[in-house]
Amino acid sequence: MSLLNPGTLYLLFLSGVVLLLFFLRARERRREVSALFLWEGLKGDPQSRATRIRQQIDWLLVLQLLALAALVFALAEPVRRVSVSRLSELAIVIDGSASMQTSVDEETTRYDLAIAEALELLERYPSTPTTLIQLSEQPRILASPDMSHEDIANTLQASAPTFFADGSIDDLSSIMSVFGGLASHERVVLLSDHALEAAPTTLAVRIVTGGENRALSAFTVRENLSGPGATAFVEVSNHTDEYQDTRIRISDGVNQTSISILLNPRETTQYVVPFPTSRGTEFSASLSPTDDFPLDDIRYFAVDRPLDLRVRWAGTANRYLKAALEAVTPVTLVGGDDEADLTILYDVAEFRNVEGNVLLIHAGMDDYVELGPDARLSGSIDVLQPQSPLLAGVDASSFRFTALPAATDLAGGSILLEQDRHPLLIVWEEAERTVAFVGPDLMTTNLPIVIDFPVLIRNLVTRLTRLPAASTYTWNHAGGAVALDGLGTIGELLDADDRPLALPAGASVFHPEKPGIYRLVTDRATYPIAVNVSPEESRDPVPASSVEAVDRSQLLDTTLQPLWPWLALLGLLLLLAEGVRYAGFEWPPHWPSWTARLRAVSFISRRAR
Amino acid sequence: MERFVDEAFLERLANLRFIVKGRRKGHLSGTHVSPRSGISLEFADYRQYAPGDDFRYIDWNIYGRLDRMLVKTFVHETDLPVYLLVDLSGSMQLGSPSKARYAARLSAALAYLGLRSLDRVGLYPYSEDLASLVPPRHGMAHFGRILRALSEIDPGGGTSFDTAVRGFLNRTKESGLVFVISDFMTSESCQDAFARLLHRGDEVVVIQILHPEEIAPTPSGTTRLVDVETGRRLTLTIGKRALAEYDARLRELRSGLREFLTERGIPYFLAPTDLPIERLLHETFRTGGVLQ
Repeated sequence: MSLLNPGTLYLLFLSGVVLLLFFLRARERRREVSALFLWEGLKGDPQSRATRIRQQIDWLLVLQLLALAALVFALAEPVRRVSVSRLSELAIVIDGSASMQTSVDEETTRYDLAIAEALELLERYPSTPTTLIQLSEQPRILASPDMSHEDIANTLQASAPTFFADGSIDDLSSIMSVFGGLASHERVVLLSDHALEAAPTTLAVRIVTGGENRALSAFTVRENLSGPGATAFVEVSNHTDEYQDTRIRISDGVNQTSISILLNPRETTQYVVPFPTSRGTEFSASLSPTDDFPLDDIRYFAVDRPLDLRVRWAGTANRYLKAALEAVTPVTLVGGDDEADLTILYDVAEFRNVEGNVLLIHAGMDDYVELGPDARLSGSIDVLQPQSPLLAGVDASSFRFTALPAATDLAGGSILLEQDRHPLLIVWEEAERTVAFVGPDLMTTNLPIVIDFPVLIRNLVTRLTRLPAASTYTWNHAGGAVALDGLGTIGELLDADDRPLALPAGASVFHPEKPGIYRLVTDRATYPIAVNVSPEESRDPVPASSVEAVDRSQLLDTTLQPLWPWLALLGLLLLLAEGVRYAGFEWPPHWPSWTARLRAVSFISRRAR
Repeated sequence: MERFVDEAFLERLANLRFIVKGRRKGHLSGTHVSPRSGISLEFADYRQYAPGDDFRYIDWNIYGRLDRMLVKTFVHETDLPVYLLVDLSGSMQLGSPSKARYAARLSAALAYLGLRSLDRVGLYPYSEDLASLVPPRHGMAHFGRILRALSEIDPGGGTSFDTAVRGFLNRTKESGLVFVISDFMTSESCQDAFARLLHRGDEVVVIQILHPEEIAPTPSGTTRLVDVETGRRLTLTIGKRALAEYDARLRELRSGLREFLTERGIPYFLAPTDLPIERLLHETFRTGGVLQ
């Protein structure tokens, strides 16, 4: 026997209220008598424990508690399995998610086991109209009830598991609505490696399990902000009962790095893997040796731009500044119309306002700064904001200037350095961008040859670009929706094997079918898109014993029969008995007349209401 | 006013009448044979015919005019004073319905029977002494006064039957049929009081009213017993043994009373409150020779 609605058993706590009321009412047993002299001097009964308990039993209380228990159990909707020999309609739901590709031995996967179970069901009920569903995040109807069992069996054997995530009960209900819904089938059998969350008990679950697994359960890469290369973050889960000696290999397609680790049984561990030699944008992490579920032994990650700093340069070239930039990070100079992370204006008196982050060196720009004639300097440099991160590690007293342009701040920036009231370093922090101004012409100063110059440039670039990878990253998984909007006009989409995929006109999402690196070519750039198998597929296979699964004989020969009407009837009868006893009627009754009987019935019905 | 009796109930009592052993010296008309001699059959009154009445006394002329069967009564049938001595002590309030209510219904029935027989009926409630009484009168109009008095009874206080009988004898000069209705749940002796009644020449009928729970109490474990008249308390474990002892004491109390009364020719009846009053009147009282 099982309960369809076990949560209602919490209502049994109401018995506490009944008991509380009972004890409040019957705390003292008291009896009034006409004459106490008849009782005085009597020897009270020595009470045995059983006698005392028996005498203290309040049958009204017992009946109330029994009635409450019966009604609560009725609400819990108990059912029991009863044998059936023929079904009116059968639905077989076979789990087609990626985890069903797990090998249980050298030649068999969990999906193969599920197919064998399904074929056995078809053979057991040869004349029963059968629906065949492959359940995953993208559920499919493999066979409809009007197909013959032979065709269904062929379809079943020709089917293969997908790379998709698990389907939910909502997915199943949705696709079953085509055939009248879950309830319209006398039996629905799910063949899967896990129980379906929030599934009704009427759904018979047959667990197929087997295979051992280690998994890369998380993988992401962030570029290093303070130096070259990147850092990989990896999470590894050992779903076996044994220690696993494993190697993690991180690759960007050109360079690679690896670490060796020992995984504890049933443990999940995170690792930070430095990858200083990386210059790529498409990464993969792999575990070796592989296991029974290889799909989670390799994971993909892609950043949507190169790690190189894209710089648009305007004005005079300066090799000292370029060298200082390249000491900070790899630099790619881009053309005037290309997307850039930073625009550098060097030695330009007037320049139109440009979008994005701008570094002005001995240059003016509309709305921000206007350059005047060079002024002769006599004093020393004043550090107005020594705690500014832009001046971290910079000793400004070592800088020497022969002349400084008289710059006029037009936008109310923050002056960090000045000399003789002439601004030397100004920063404008805005919501969308940052603009920095360095006053002197580098070639008239000692800046290019002091050791603090690249430090100052690193600070400026770090502040000006500020484009680190997101601290959290949502995995695109096979079968899920991948957003394409905001990346420009779409040219073509290439799958993991570099084959073009057909996209409907105006499509803003696509559903990748396999894991790997996809490439979206737009009018702006080519964006790599990493697609993985859902990490849910890497979880432990659910052992059959932990699921309220039925064994094969029950699965084939039984159906559920509700018991709650009998319990509800019992509860009502107990309530009636309690009412009769409360009214003090004896059995068999000695009512004097039909009028009295009618009064009694009226009393009981009032009490029942 | 609480309604003790209804017409249907009274209708079923219509063919009952008291049996009086000796000739009474009544001074008003009634249905009892007078000890006085030489008085011829002289018409006195009409009353409704009831099954069992002598056909010879049906007035067929009235039946012809009014379509009602009435019987004639005569002056040589003297009346009988009927006294109802009703215990209204605190112990009578026990039970559901209470013993007092049962006593009130029984008193109403006896009063009706008396008045219907053209007797005078008086009501004498008592507890520690006589309470407000209804002196004996005849006529059905008096029945209303008795019912009103019965509906206003409020049991309470202790019991002193001896004091009550003394008061009763002082206030009534004429002997008659005395119904004593009580639970007799008292340790005080009633023998002197009954002896006084018999000495005056009263015919006494004793009805002991007990609640079934008093006759056969149920086990209740450790219980605090409270005397409703005195308020005294006693904690006792009530099981089979205690109940057996209680039963023996109650039997002894009842048998002592019954033997004393029987020896003096006083009818004694036990009336549990679950015994319907009609059965008490029609079966028990008839068998006991009080009614016919």
